[in-house]
Amino acid sequence: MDPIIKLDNVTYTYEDEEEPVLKNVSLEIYKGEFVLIIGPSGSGKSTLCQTFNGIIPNIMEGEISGQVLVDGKNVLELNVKDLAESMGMVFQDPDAQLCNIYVEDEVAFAPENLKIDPAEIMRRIEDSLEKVRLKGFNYRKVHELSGGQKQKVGIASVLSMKPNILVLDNATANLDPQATREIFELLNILNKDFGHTIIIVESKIDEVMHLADRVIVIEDGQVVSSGSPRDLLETSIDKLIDMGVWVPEISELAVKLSEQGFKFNKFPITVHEAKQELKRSWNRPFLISSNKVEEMSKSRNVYSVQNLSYTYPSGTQALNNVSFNIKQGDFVAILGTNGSGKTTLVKHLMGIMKPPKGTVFFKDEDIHEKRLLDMTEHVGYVFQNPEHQFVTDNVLEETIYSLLVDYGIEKGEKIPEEIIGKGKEALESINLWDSRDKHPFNLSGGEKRRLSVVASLITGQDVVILDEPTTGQDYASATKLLELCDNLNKQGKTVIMITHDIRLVCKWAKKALVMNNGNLIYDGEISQLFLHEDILRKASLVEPPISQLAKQLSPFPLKRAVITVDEFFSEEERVQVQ
Amino acid sequence: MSWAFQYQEKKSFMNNIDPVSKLIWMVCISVLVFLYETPLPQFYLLMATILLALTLANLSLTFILRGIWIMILFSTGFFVLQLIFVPGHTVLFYVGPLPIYSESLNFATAITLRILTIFMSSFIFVVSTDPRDIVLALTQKFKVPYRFAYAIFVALRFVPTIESEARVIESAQIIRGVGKQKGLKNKVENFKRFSMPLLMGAIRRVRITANTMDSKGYGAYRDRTYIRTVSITTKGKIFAAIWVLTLIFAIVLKII
Repeated sequence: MDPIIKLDNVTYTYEDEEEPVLKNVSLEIYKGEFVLIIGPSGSGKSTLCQTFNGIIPNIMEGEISGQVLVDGKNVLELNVKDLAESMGMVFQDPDAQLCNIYVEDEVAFAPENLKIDPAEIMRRIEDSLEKVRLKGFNYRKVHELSGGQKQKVGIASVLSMKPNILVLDNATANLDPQATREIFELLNILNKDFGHTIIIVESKIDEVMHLADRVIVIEDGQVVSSGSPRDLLETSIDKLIDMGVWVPEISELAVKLSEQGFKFNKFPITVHEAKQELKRSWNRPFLISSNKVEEMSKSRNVYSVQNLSYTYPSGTQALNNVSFNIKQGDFVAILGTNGSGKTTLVKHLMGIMKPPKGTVFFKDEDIHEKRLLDMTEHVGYVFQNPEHQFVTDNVLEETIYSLLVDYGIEKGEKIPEEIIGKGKEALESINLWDSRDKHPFNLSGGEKRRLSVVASLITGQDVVILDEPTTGQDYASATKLLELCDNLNKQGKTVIMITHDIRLVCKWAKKALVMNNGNLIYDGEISQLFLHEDILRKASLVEPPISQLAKQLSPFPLKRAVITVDEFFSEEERVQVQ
Repeated sequence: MSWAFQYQEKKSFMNNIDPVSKLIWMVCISVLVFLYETPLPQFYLLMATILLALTLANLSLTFILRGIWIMILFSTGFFVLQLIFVPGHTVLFYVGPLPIYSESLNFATAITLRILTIFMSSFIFVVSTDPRDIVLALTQKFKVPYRFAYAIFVALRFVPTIESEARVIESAQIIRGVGKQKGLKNKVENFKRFSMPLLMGAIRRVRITANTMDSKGYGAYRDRTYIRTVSITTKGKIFAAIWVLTLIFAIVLKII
């Protein structure tokens, strides 16, 4: 069988750059395959996808050599439009790729451009919307849809070109776990039932790895391995972890088990498979280990929230009678679907949105009485997009900006050694001292986030609030960020973090607040959270694979969930080594 | 945030008629206001336009005020300037040492009312017309190349996104301490700080938008097909005809 996509020795260099992003890439993708592309950030995954439909080199200029064949067409000699009916592409940011007001117009946009007969287009609209399960959404406005629905419209809008190949470049990065799962289910159906060839770049490995027929690993612009998910994980999981990409939690466990002599019939990559493998040898229950939160009970409250409600001018209730306390030195994860009120809640904690009198207290003082500028002396707040907070032209100045402002040092004046020293210390803690003269915008995504954390805390704030700091990050940079937070936490600082990354939460956070439709439905220890199936369901939380496995292996209900691979292993002796 | 100066989905005569007829009406109004130099006819024209907004466009007075208050402020300033600087010879009264001439008063009033009428009619047009229909009318009826019409349309669609991003950046930077330092030099610096991330974000977004539009065959051919066509309604024809006749009548009167 001829491959539907064939790259032969493709090397590509962006305009104005010297080092090529793709180096001698050769690969073949066959009709009907479900291919997952993984690799650390900056390795060239997105660039690779853009060569498939000729965005490179037609729109993004630069130097390309080699050969790209798609659907029998020589891409390098064609225009993007010639590939339109072969391939549909969906990107990360839904707002940037949907350019029409109504859903129907969005789906009709491509075939209209391709001069398809209107009656046929109407049929395709119905067909595409039905495939993505948005039947009847024709006259809905795109910008009023949820993030997940927008991405489905994005998929429908390329399905209407009747392409064989669908390429999704990090399309779920901005979505919550529930919406992500729906997109993956949809892709699976499009692949299995409708025969579309699917190529996705993804970092949410736990949910998608088992759907793929083949995984291609890209590092530093080269294809370093390619194979079935099982083979790849079994043979090179360590390499993947070193590279800094996410690997399935179950496989991480499996590798450790096999290091200890456990023999698998079939190397497991899903909870179900692991259960099949382990149930023969699993003979004892998990013990209840020490409680991470106990030591906290004596500290004072940094935050006390009492009956906080908030209704948007549009009438939507964003917060409904929310009450909770956060203790000094705590590490709190705020969980919940998009639109459940998480960001609104933390904005009230910071005072970006002014809470009503008598509802939010910071160290016993009513935030209602405080100005935002006063709050910044006590609390650092890291926005979703770190670039929004950058205010200077170089990394060192960025770090010490708030100090300069406090000391009233104007631009161009000499900076006291003492302040530079503080900046140096902060930058060294995140390994960025050598990059001190760079422009903050030129750092990598992960570096930007770490810089914005240390810069937010430079005047000695002892509370930090982070709004989805790990979105779209690879394993290496997400881990570095959380390690940074953990260090701050160990210094006694309070960390409050909104996130969807349940594995990071389990590994690092102590306490969880779960929001659902503006209500606080859980306030307590993280390991207890996973024992409440009703809350997990209500908030569409995805239980970490390791916890699911432990529950299924345990002959009677657990008193405390097992939430990390390490915890699973602290009970390692319970697995009978064969 | 509800922004008054944008399309409002509602039932009204103006919402129901086609954009082409509405454009003809706007042209008629604009020519009419330039036929007269004196305040009284300008006043009638403005009243007629406001009346049309209240009845045919089914807008409330508060909504209209919300939509045009910036323009009212602007024209008040404009009025005062004209009043002071346009020369005249019949002194009406003095404000302190400053003489106010009746010619300048007349002229300033007429000009200000003219601006308000033109603005008011565009306001009615914008709030009663789905932007999508404007694009369709431009491409289908006025034969504007669709690549051009869509480019404007897409640019306009991003205004709210950029607006909300600007608000986020503003609070993000206040938290960093921007704004603590006073003085003009810092004000200029702060503006740079603010616009940089906004611009970077916009450029990145535009690039993705361009990539997606291209991969969806945008601009592949000189023309395209449409699942929707703009048809000129009978009501619209009658409405436009009435205004054209009024205009001709006014011109004839003016010549005689």
